This record gives sequence, C-alpha cells and structure tokens, in this order.
Amino acid sequence: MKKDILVYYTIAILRLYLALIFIFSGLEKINDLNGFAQSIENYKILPLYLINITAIIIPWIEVVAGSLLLLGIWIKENSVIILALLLVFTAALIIALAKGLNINCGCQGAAYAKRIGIAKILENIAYIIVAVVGIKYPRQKLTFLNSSRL
Amino acid sequence: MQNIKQLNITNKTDYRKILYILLFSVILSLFYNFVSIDGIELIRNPQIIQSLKSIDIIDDVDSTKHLKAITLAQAIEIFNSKKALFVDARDQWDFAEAHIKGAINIPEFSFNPNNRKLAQIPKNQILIIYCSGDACSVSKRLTSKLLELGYLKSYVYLGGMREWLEAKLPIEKASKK
Repeated sequence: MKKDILVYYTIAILRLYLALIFIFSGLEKINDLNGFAQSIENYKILPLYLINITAIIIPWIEVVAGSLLLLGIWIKENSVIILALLLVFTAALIIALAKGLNINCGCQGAAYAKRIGIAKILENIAYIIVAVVGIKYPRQKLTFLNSSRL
Repeated sequence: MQNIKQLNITNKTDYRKILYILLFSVILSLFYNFVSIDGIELIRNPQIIQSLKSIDIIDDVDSTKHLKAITLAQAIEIFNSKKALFVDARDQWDFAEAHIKGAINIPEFSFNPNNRKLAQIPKNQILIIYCSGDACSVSKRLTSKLLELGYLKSYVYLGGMREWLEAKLPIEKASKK
C-alpha cells in the first residue's frame, strides 16, 4: 500500500534526523568539554564534583546512541537512551527557566550560543515524540544493518 | 493501515543492550578524555578567591596568578580614576542590554585566546572583569584565563552587573565595542 510506504519512510527519516542531531550535538560538546562543563555549571543543578564527569560522559552517549540509531542497530534500545537524555535535558531547561536563569542552553555545545526558552523546550518535545516513535516502531526502513529491518 | 500494525510487532526492550551501549560510551568517553589534549579533570575544582586588600596595590604585579576580587567601593574608585578597563564576561545579549559604562565585551562562553579585542589590550592594563552578579562564574573563569595569558593585573568584580545597577552607577546600552 502506497500510504503505508509513506508512513514507513517518514518514520525512518525522522529517526535519521534525530540521530544526526544527536551525533552533531555530541561532537560539538566533545570538541569543547570545558565549555560544556561551564554550561552544566550555569544550570546550577548538579553539585560541583559531578559537573565534569557528566560533561565528559554525556556527549559520548549522544554520539554512540546517535550513530547506532543512524545505522538502524538496536533502534528500540537506542531510542530509549535518547528519550532518557531528552527528558533529562528538558527537565533541566524547565528548572532553569523556573529559577529565572538567563543562560545559554549549551544544547549543541558551547560554540552555538542559544538562549534557553520555551522554543528550546518545544524543540525537545518534538525530538521526544520522534524517540517515542522509535521505541514503539523499532522495525524500520532505511537501516544499514539487517538487525531491525522491516 | 493493517500493515502499519506489523511495525509494532517486536520483542520487549532489551535492557542488557542499553547497558552495553552505556558502558561502551562511558569507557570511550573516559579514554578520550584521558588521551585528548583538551581533556578536563574528572572533578571540577572550586576557585579560591582572595580579596584585594587595598586599591593602592592594584598596580602591583602578583605572579601567583591567584584570583583577586574587588568590592563595590573599590570598583567605583577604579571606575572614577579611569585607570582600568572593565570587561564584561557575559554573552553579547546581556552585554547589549546593559553594561558598565565603557566596558568591553569578551564573552567567556566563546573565549578564544586570539580574540581580536584582547590583542589590542596591553598586558599591563588593569582589567576589572565582571558578570551578572555574585552567583555567576564566568567572570572568575575569564579572569583565570586572562591571568594565564599574562594579564596579571586582572581582577574580578564579584558584585557584577546586579550590584552596579542597584547602586545606580553609570551604564550603557548596546554598543559596537
């Protein structure tokens, strides 16, 4: 059915887009760990001793999960990881906004200075929807390794 | 639409796979941080700040590179003497909204040692670095970086923009500086 194929490919393309966003954001953060650590500190949520270790690990989870998602390997599991990250990021954004902090997001690394705000939260909600679709429909088109092919 | 339902026929989430992915990422991240020249310490160091005892010694060079802070009274005195250059460590948006009169903007967020504005500042210039208030940390970090670069007369004004505004001292809005 033509309609089904359209749906399959839409889901797959959304997955690829989310994967690329995560790979890109992760690499930007890895490129400037100090800047990312500073961004985390600006949120004033984590205690000082957890800031750097978080800044070191999070971007690599983004890159690894994003890459696997891009290739179509373990789509469900990687979508779960990405969903968890998105929920944490969005919660941090909401807390920072509630506190009235006027800070840079740090979402795509420190170099892409973008203010925290409602727009960023809405963007994250859109990504959350894509991640949930990935969890619900892990057998997809456009996978480059056989494991989850439709 | 029945076919779409087939998409949903899958096994449950395999938490072991999630664990593998996370474990792999953690190992990779720690390894990268260890070998990379841009790696950071695992535990972030709190910064120790001394207060500047007297404004009279502001011109003395202290090679220990310890962060030194000035109070509002000292900041006003230096501002009036026009001996120092005020540096706003916040980003361009905050700077455009309002900044201490005559201040230049060097955002710590995107700091680059080859900054064009910085290149024009002689190393013996007295610099007063500030950000939004005492809770912000960008001024302290920028001051550390400036001290490292050899701007040994760099001081942090901890009260920052908030205290300056409360004291109704001269400010400027957006400028091309």
